[in-house]
Amino acid sequence: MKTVLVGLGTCGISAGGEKVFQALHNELKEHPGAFVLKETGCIGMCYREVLVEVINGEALSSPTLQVDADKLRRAGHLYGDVTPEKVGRIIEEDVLNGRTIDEWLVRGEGREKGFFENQIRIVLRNCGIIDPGSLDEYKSRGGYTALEKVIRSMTQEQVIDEVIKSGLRGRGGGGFPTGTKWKFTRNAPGTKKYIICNADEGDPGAFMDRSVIESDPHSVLEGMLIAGYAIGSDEGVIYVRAEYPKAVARLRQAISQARNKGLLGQRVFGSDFIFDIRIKEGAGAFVCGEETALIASVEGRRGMPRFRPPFPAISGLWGKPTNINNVETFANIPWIILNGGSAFASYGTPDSKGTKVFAMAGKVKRTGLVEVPMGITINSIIFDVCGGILNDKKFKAVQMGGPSGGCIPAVMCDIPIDYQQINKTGAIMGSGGLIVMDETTCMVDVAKFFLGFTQAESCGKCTFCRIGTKRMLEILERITIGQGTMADLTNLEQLSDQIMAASLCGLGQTAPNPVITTLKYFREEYVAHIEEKKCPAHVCTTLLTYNINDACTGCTVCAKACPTEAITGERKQLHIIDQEKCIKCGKCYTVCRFDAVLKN
Amino acid sequence: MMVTLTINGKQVSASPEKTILQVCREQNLDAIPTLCYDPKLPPFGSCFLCVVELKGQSRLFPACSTKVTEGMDVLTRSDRIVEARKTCLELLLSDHYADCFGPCRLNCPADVDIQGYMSLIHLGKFTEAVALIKEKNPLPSVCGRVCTRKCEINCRRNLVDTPVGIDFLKRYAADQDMIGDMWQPEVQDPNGERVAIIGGGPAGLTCAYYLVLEGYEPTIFEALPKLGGMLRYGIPEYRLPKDVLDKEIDWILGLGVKVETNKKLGKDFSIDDLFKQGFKSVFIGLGAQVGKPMQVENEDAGGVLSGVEFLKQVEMKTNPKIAGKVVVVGGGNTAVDAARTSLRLGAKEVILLYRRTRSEMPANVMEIEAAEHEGVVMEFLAAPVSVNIEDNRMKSIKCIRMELGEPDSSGRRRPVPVKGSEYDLDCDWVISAIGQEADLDGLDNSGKIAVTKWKTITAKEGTFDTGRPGVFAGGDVVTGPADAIDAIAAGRLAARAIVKYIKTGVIEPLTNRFESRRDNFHKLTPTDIPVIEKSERHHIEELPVEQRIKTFDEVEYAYDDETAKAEALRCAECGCDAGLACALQDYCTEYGVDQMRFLGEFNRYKVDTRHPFIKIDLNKCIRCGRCVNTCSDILNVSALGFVNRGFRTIVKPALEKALHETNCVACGNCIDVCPTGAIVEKMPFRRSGPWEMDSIYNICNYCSVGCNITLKVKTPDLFFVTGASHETKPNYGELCVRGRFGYEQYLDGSRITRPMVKKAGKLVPVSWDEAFLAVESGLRRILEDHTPDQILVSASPKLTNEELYLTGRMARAALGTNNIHSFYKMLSGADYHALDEMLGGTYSTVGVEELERADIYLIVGSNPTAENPVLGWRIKRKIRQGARAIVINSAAIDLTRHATAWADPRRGTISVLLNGIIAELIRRGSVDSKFVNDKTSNFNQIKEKLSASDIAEVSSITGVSKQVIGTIVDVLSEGDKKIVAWYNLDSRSERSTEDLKALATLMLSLGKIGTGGSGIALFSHQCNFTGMQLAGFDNRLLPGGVPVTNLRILDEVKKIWTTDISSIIKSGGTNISRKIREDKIRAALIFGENPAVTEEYNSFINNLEFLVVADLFRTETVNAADVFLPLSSYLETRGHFTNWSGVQQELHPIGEPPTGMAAVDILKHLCSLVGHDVEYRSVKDITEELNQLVMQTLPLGRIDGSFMTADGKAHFTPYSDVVMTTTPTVPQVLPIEARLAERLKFINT
Repeated sequence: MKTVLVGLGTCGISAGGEKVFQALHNELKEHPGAFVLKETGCIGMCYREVLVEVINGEALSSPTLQVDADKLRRAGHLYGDVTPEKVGRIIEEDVLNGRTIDEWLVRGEGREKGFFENQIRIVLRNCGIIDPGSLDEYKSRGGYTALEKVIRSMTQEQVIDEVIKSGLRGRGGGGFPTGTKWKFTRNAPGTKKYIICNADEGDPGAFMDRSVIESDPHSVLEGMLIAGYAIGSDEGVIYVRAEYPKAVARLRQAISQARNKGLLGQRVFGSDFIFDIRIKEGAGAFVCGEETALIASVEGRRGMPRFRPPFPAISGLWGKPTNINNVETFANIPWIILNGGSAFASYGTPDSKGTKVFAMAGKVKRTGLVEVPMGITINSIIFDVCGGILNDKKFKAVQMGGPSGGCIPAVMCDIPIDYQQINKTGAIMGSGGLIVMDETTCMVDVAKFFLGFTQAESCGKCTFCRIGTKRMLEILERITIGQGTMADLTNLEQLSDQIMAASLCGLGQTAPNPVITTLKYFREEYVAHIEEKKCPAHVCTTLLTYNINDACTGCTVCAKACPTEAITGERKQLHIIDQEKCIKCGKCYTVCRFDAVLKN
Repeated sequence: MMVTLTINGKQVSASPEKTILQVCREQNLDAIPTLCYDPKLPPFGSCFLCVVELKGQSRLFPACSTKVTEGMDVLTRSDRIVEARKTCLELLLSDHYADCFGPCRLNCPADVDIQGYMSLIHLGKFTEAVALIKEKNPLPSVCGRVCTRKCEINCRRNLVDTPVGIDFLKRYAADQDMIGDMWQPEVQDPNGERVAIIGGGPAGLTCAYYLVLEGYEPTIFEALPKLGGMLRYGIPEYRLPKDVLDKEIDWILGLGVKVETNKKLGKDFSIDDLFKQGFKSVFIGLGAQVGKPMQVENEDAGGVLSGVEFLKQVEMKTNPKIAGKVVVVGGGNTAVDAARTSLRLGAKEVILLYRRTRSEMPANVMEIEAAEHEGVVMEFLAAPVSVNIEDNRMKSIKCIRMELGEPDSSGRRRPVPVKGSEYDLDCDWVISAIGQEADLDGLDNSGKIAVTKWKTITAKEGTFDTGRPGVFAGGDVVTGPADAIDAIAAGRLAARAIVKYIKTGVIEPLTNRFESRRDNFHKLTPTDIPVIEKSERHHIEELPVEQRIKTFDEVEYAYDDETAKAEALRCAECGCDAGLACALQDYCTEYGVDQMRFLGEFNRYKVDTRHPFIKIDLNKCIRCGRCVNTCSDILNVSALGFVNRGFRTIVKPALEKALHETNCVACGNCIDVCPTGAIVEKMPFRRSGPWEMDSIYNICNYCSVGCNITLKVKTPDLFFVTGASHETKPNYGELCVRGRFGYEQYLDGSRITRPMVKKAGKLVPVSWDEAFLAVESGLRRILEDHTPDQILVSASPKLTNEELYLTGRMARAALGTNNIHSFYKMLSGADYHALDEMLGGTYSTVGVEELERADIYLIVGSNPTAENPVLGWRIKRKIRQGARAIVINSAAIDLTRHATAWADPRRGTISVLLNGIIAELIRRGSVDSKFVNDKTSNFNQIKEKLSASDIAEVSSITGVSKQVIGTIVDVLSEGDKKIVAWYNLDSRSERSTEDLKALATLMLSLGKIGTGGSGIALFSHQCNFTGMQLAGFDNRLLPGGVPVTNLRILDEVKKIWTTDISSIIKSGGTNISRKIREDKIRAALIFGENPAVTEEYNSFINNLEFLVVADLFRTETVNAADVFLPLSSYLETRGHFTNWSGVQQELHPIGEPPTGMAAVDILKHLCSLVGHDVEYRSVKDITEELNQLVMQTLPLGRIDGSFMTADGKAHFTPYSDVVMTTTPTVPQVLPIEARLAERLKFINT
């Protein structure tokens, strides 16, 4: 008996996974009992969705917490870019007749070999493997054994010590040692304490938390339960974005399953430990990822950060000690408890232990979700795991840490993934968003994009953040339309300093980072915009001019495409662009088959 | 525990609970600036103006939020901090699309509060308007005639129709003031320091004026025979009559300015001489009065005059006889003046020759127009080249045509001669008026005073110092020829610098006040100014041309009263309502902020005036959140909140509704906390300005809480109310809608301020004497036909202690009746004597301290947040901080949401419920037996009576579940808690027969009265119900607040009143209601009440044989009166109110009563009318007399161990628990309440 798995995370669904699933379902009707059809979460190779895996056997037979992904997936044939039309052949050839369709395979010895080979999957250990809607499958892979172990055989101190030993640091971006945070909350005076799981993932291009919840929701619940046990809390809240309907549904389902099985609620595992979890859906404010704003939002107030101290560990939700970790942090916990803190600590660098999940986006060949050991270089992630730059263009920089992070230029990308090392560049580890940029990316435009995001998402409380970022944005806008001055660069730097120094929360304190790092590493691009009125990456429309050179054959395609009739010329004659009329839409550039249109 | 830290290098010790800001302020280390911090709220930390540096930290920290820690090293004023604060303010200002002042003031060189005097003129307050103008400009009637009117040029009305006639109005106000005695400023006592002022023109006169105000002795040295400078010798009589000038100058001199005329610098004295004579400082205001030469050939020929010289000669009557054809050269005011003067002197034809065109002429447009009307011919684009001579006298002038070329440095196009276009112009006289310069020859020996090549003195801007110590200069001599208003501005600022210099030896630079301007953001268009009706400016009549060219009579007539008021109303009120009370503006001035630095996109909002009391101008909002947090944290209302994100973040009423459609209670506390003008009071009058007002602290007269209020006052009828200091009990600066906005009815013009007597069925205004005569004859008639016992005297519990005491004395001692009562009390049905027998008096037994420290609030029948809101909110806050509340009220009042237990007994069954609770407490053994044994009597009777009480029955009668009763009993059984029972005597809707007695029985049983911070708090809707009892205005009480059975006090009263009233006193009081029902009352004197509005008393009032009513407004009862006497309001009254807890609070009047007679004087008069003369020199005498009586009775409220009863014990007294039906609303017998209720209809309280 074979099992057919379909990746139905949001990535799979948006690529048409449900139609593929339906097609498979139809096949199953035709061949009753021929195979078992299941859905799973995000397999990681989002760039290849829809993914369908054909496995020998009814279910995965390895109940270990194996992290070596390649071995883990030894039995399956993973097909990428599957459409409903391809389904018939997969059933016919592979499922029914055991013939691998090599040209559709995306794994194994194929060209995408390195994608899984170079990963270590702890957080993602079940992602793309189990059916996220099945508690039994989670359990079959060792799920909730860590919780049972904790309740049956460990004291609160032992749990905290194990987490401290693991060296796990908060994966939400702050990087604060998780065990220490737990200890603070546990030691804070008061009997009522809260656990909050921060699933308000808001960085543009980041989708780690969503994928984990959609693919393995119980691992998050189990991590929260263990944290609840360790700090003496009986109530947990998951603050999750309402824009993640699939994740919210998965969580609801998992919570209800866990409650029914006595894993959540009164007398967990029959012990005296009480812990329940509820969901609070966020309304899409980026700043609610900041813990004090998040707490305000849970309490029903406007999500506005407040000054710290007091830290939530002392005075959090409803004024009670509160421990807040993000999804990825919690998902690590069961593994650490079962395998030991030192096993976790054996990965990574002295400063940064374990693995980190990254959401790969931008100009990279393999976009998707990867989990790599700390200490791997950025270059290695981009080139070894993700296959290099899209269209083999020149690698220019990566943006790490989302809008709070910064741009690391290609020349520095041999640094290892490590909190300290990355901070030194001016970027931050962040929650795992990694946007790859190539030579066609304008760094002023990038800075403008990220600042525009933080400006729009500022809660509006602090003067510097609310108005200062707006004024910086206006300066960047001026620069990208060729109206900047060199004095603007000084203004940008001064404002950056002040905004970072005088803002209440992380959003304001880091908002200027993209500007600062691009100014630091790509100053010449700013200068080119200001002094030469040129955008070297040919991105800033206002600064572009389109011209037609001798290669023009007079085919008139460009003239027909031009929406403003700016291109004139007789058939078979050299065409000319009227710069007055040209709106720089780039249509001519795209349609010309002779490379006769030049962008300057 | 304290921590030690370093602040600005100084070691200090402070509590770790304090923030850096608090420590710095409390220990006077640095007044750290902040806009969002509010001492009553938890730190919010939004403005980031309070940033400080902490050693070892790269970030800046908000001092308002950062608590001090051991070893912390703080810097509060480093360069980095100052730079950050400046940037912070500049960022705020880059999104602050608002005007601090109207463009009129912003463009007035002298910074006169123009909008302010517009509003005063509109109110007919001409003297006050002049006083306001003279804060900046001592020569308003001069300026009102000759000013160049930068205010009007910039008036925003230009965008709509025509500018406000500001200058005419100034002239008008000043002229009014000149009729009779002129307004006199307050002058400091002379300090003996002398200052010499050289030059008696506008600069010198102004400087002298502001010096003399400060106590200095200025002496003006004037080269010419009279003072005035160019005002006298440069401006012709028909523009500025010299008697006007003389009057204004004499007024200044009259303040103590010395003058030496015909004394010329350099000829008669030198600057050195002045210092030798003992002058401490010298001000040079020489002016610029020498005509500049035309620099053409034969300029010095006969028949060629300089314009200034010509005008001067005319004034001194030494001018040559002008006739024939006159050519005046120049385009300024002097040229126009010379032209118009020539006409008047008999010139046949006057040609004004100007080298540019009309639009470039520097002269006032109005002057140019007047000249044209009078027949002056303008010849533009021509200039003189030479003077042609015949017989040693000019014959004609050679002119050349000009054309306009490129703009020059002044921005005007430069005139360029057209080659070969010369022509001759025949004429008899040439007057050259192309400019003036100063005569600095006399300065020769004065050394270090720097002089420019343009013959001006170099004096520093703003400080006016010349470089020579002690010598200052200002006016035309520094600037070159300019306007009078510029010289006046310089004179005032120079005086300021001189004062500072003499006092300290320091030349202090002038800090420019920051002014936010909408013009900085964009060019305004008509849509940018508030919607105003179009209305053309009121024109001024002028002397007909035929007449005026024959005389030097003033050409322009003035406005009349009505036109002036109407014209002032045309002011579009561009300035900010926050006026000078803007923290943002102050900080921007302090940090030298440039609004333009970060200008970019800005938010624009429509000003929201839909709320009846509150105006919201979000353009001025700095998002500090104080209003939002005050509304949510102090009031628990949350009518305001933040919406949107990023740059679009803004404060708005909940759910984007209009504010009054939210749950706003219209308390206006948001107005007080707003650091800018974003939330301001919507004034009931046209009153945007004046900006500076006096503060008078007073007591609110609405409910019994006795809130402190601040009256912002400019004139007695121009005021508004704000909160008092947030440190002052009982309201800590908070106010409710009544306290804050209730004053408006005093301003709506409906008060009656004249006595009236009914003649032929109609009330007609009469004099006080006639009114008193009418009272006298009326009373005499009544007393002839009836006994004094048939007269009723009623008074409102809003009168002062002194008024009530005197009313009582008048009734009892003078009229001989004990029929004294308040209709308000009678109608409210409350028993103001419920506790007399039990506790010895019906008074609160706790004060505001106990109220604040209570653990449990037992709120019976009342609705604190609606009836006595300020203390009601306090309870809400206390509940949030851990106190508990038990609410017994059939309605879901605001506090039920916050209560631990809410019992909702059926209406009229409160005492049944309370009895059930007491019975349960007895059963549980929760009664404080020791207290009951030691401090009370008669408990067994109550115990016995309640022994049969059955909780199931109580539950079925009251409808309150057994479970709720159980919870209440549980809470009350916690022996060690401080319990305060809250009862409002006037909460009519919930009352049963004797629930206050039941409540007192409950509290006594628990041992919670008069001990350990527990007790009963009694409230009323009326501010002075306690004072009414203490003043003895009650047929069952004596002054001192004790029962009439107290013979000792009765005897005391006899001594003081020299009248024995024992015969009219009945021990059980007088049943006035019955007397009224039985028609035994035939005459009444009613003070401040309107019983005729009620069904019960309407026919009674209308059937009286004689009725005297004293009130503020026209009411139904007033209409029935035979004599009406206008009362003074609490705003004009000296005396006291006694609040709910027995605290006597002094009133501070804002002025004299507009009626001409205070209420106590009316009462004194009435006493003497019936032969009972009272000897009080002032209100203070009455206060002392009353207080003496009050002090002889037990101190009320704070009962410590013994009660006010005869034996010092409390007495359990049987009471009825018959279920009573009530009517839910309190009849509005107090006119003020009724009027306010009308206004407050919309509010959800």
